[in-house]
Amino acid sequence: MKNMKGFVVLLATVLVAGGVLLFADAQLRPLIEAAGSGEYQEILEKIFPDSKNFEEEEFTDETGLIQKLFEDEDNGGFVYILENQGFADKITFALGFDLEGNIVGYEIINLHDTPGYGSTVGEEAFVSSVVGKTSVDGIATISGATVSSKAVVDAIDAARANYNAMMGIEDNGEGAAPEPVAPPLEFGAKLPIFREDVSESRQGVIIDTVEEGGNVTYTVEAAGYAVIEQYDGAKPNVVKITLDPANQVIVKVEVLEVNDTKGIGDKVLHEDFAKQFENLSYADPSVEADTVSMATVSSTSVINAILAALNANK
Amino acid sequence: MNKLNNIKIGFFRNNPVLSLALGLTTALAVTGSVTTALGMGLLILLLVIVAGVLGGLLHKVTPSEMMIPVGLVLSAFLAKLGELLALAYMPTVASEVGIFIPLMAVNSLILFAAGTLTEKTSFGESMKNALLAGCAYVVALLAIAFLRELAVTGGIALLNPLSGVELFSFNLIPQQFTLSLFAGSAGALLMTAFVGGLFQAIGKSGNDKGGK
Repeated sequence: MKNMKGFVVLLATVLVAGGVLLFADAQLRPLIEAAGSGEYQEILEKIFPDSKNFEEEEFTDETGLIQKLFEDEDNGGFVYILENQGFADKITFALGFDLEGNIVGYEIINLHDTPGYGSTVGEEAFVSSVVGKTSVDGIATISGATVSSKAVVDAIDAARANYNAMMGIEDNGEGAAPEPVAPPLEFGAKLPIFREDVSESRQGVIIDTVEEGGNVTYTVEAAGYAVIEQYDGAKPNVVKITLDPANQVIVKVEVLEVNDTKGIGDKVLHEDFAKQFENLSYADPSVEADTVSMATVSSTSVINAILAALNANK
Repeated sequence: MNKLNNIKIGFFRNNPVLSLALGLTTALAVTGSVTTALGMGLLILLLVIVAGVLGGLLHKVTPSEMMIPVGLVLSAFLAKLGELLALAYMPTVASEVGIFIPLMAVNSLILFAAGTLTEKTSFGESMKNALLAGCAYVVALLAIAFLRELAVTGGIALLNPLSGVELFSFNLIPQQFTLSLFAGSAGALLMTAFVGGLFQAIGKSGNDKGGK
């Protein structure tokens, strides 16, 4: 009989406790759900400025990059809260889709990667490469900020996959990720092309000359940072210069090989750097060229190579 | 639990977390900032009261051999209730503390038991003991959290744990002298040991003879 009483008490405890919990859950659920979006409300409203009510949705995600999914209850649309490990720290951001599959918003929540490199994933150029795409378009990473931009692009891909599955959109892979985009080049000081003070060791050495039509093309080697600093196995940089002697114009400059510090000296490979010489008249002896900021020595080697070509053509 | 039978809980001597190591894991987890310590401390106090009332009532009607399963149901109930309350009313604290919320709730039952299982005491007496244990726990949490936040961030920023609105903040230590060591679990344990030693020293020199 004593045992019976014990079981009755246990049963009663279980039932009462369960009942109270069910009641508490029903009462508190709206509060909990409101609190869930509360943390992100500001970001959600940035992406959908005309909406106030967002409801957190359940989702399945094998990548683990999707943190939360909110549905815009006022005007329709979805916002993913995504997080991935960047270069220095976790990158957290929000990505918004409308109901037609367009990416309508990209907002950084947390980004602590290197200023000037990883931080570019939070800058206007990258933002505009994301917003306006659709759920079947790949997003290009940024060369020079590979770790940070890949972290972001992987997370975007996870969100796109989830969105496509949810909306029944088929991603046939036609919008495959384009080639990495190079960040715009930053120019530093200007340097006159014609200079008398170029030391002998830094002067360009012409290794090949080709005449074609009225144009002359020189292939020139010039000492870059690695050679000047006498690094082991250092090789000079190689530049191809095409001149039009009749009109005193540089037709084209191609930087073929840069053997200087990776990530710094090789910035002179950027097409914007070579482009400044295109159709540049050298009739004026005071003509100047832009050097690349943080890559002054490598830029100077290219300008020295041009000078050597111009001198050879005199 | 037998060892606990002869121990009286107190603030400085026999502090539940600092010298008895009750609920140590959660104490380490929630003392990252004064705000979370305060929020979880409030939750603990509330649940100690609930645990006290329900535990006391159940103790009266439950035969002793059924006390363990009934106690388990009670602790599961408190864990879930605490979690729901924290999620609803302290979302920012809850998201920081995460998995430790249900553990915290279980702790309150342990605290209650630590305060009551000493002797055959009246209901009022055991409630008093449980509350004392709860308060001692909260004081210890706040002391550890205060020192950890000060060491890690160089100052204290106290938010209202319910609304997330900043109540006050100050900065004492310049940024270059802060110690991020105390943000991690190893640092938390070190700080807990340090505060434990401090409390023990105060308890010995003062006239706090342990909870009476």
